[in-house]
This record gives sequence, structure tokens and C-alpha cells, in this order.
Amino acid sequence: MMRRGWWRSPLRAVAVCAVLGCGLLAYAHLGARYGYIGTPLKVRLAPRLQLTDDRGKPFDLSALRGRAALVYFGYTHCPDICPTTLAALAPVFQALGPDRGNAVIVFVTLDPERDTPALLHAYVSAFEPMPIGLTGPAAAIGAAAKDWGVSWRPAEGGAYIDHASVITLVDPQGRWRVRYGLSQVADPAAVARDIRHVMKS
Amino acid sequence: MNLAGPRRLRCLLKGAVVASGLATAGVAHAAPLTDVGVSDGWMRALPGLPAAGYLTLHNAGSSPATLIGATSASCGSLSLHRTSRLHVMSHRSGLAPGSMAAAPGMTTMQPVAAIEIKPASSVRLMPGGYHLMCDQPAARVMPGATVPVTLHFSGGGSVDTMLPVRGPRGS
Repeated sequence: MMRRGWWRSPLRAVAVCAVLGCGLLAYAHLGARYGYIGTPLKVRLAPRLQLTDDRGKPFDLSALRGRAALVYFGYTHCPDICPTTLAALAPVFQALGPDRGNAVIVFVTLDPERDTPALLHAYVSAFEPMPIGLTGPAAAIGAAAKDWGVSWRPAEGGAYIDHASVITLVDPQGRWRVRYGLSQVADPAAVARDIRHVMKS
Repeated sequence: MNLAGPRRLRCLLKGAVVASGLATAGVAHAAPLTDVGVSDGWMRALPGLPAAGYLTLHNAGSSPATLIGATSASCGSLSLHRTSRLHVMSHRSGLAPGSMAAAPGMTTMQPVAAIEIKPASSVRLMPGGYHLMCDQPAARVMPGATVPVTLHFSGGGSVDTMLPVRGPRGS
């Protein structure tokens, strides 16, 4: 006996059309979506970041509301990837032009024992624009790194630290938006476009 | 060659000077490697912190050259390192499942025993890759200065180079 075609069943026809329709809508939605150069994150309120800044004052990420923040976890004794990544942000801020005043860089140390506020201050002062340096008790740093999804571990007897070298873009509403590795930051115009995008939406 | 007497003499003298120069260099450094050239060298200085040195090595010879170390009077120690990505997540990462769109791997910096430069090719020591690690840099390692570096190769050869020092921003 031959099976009846799907179109013979009105219910099944409606179901198939609904699935096709949804697919089409999703495709249209994706097509219209802004394409980030970085890796988009699930939009949600950024985890807490309550530490001590490089001037020895208490810092809370919520104080940066109204501005976009580029948050990076590293350490000052990191000779290659950390300064390379921070240096790569200078052309990004140049590309931001008049919007550059509405964005800040935050450098959180993973090495609070060596990175005192004074050392952090000397370190961040060497970069343009000058990041806000953050340090604090080891437990608070550990918790912050965990909350921010930054994996790390001491290496070579504690002299160096293996760590996720990523910049997290937080929008002016204090939400996680995009994450960047060094290769993505290498395109300053595109990163500036991303930052402007999250400033507006 | 049909050279006049005095000219020939000058030529011979020049040869002798070059030869004695090489002999002197040979005393200082086991054997200067003539096949290996260095270009685009620079060092990034951070105030009182380890500095990274970068350069490009060219091997014009017909056999591989292997860089096995470096020394500098301006560094407490100078070693070969490589920054690379670790794709295995550490158990300490503490990533909450679904907390992020993409879990980034760790970047690690490890000592390197040797860097091989194949015949007629180049290897770049550059930010985010191979680099020289200058630990305990001398106070004179600051932007605008030049750091003398001797690169040591397997077989006993060496190459001297000067790395201009740049600021943290690499400019």
C-alpha cells in the first residue's frame, strides 16, 4: 500500500510550513545581525570586579557605567603577550576618535604578591591610553578570574603565569559583550567598530 | 691579476689585516657564523621588569643553523622563550558550563632549547611567538638605548647583534 503524501495531512503541512517559516525568520535575523571581529559573548551583566586600583583606592566596575570597558587579566612580569596586547589597544583608541573618552582599559593582575599598586601604577603609566590597574588579596583575584572565565596557573616555579590572554569588552550598561584574543585585536578599525556598536546598542 | 707592485702590496696587507681581524674575533667568539644574518631586531623595555627581544634570523647557508642560546652584558640572564596557546583547559579554570560563548585557552610562555633555521630561510622571533627573554635587565635597558646581544648556535658559532630598545608600546 502506498503511503499518503505529507501534504494530504493538513496538520503535518502546517507543521512543516511553520518549521520552514521559523528557519527563514532565523536566517533573516542572522543576516541582519552585526558581525563582530571578536567572539560575541552571551549578553549578561558582567561579574563583580571589586578590587584596589593602582592608586591604592577601592575600585568597583559599576563605577564605569556609561563607558565601555576593555578588561584584561595579566601580570607585570609578563614580558611578551601582556605588553603586546596592551600596546595593540593604542591604535584601537586612535580609531575610536571622538569616542575614545567613552572607553577605558582595565588591567587586572593575576600576580598580586609582586604587583603592588605602586608597581602596577608604574606599569600602566607606560601605556596609552593608560589602563586602570587592579590588584587585591590573592583570594579576591582568584575569584575574579574564575568569575570572568580567565583560566590561569603559575608556571616555571611561580616566575611566570600561564593565563588566558583575552580582552573582554563590557558595554556602558556593564554587560559582557565581546571577547578578543591578540589576533583579533590586530585589526584596530574593526575593534573600534565593535566598541562603537556596543556603545549604541 | 695584473697588479702593479705597490697596489699588490696594499692588497696583501689588507688581506692580512682582515685575516688577523678574523683571528681576533675567533678568540673572542668560537666561530662567527657568516651564513646567519640578523634583521629587524628590537627589545621592549618595561620599567624594572623582564624585557622581551625580537629579531629575524636569516640562514643563507646550505645547512641548517640552530640557535641554542643568547647572552648579553645588559641582562642578568637571556634565554629563548616561546609564547604559545594551550588548548587543554586547566582544572583550575573554574569555568561555569555555558558561562561563555567561547572558552579561551591559556597562553603559556615556555623556555625553548633550540630554534632551527633551515637553509635559505628565515625565522622570526616576534611578539606572541618566539622571543628572547631578558631577565633582570640593567638600568641602561631603556628606550633609545641599544642592547648588545650574542646569539649562540650549535656547533660553537655565534653572531653578534645590537637590539635597539623601544618603550612598552613597541614604538
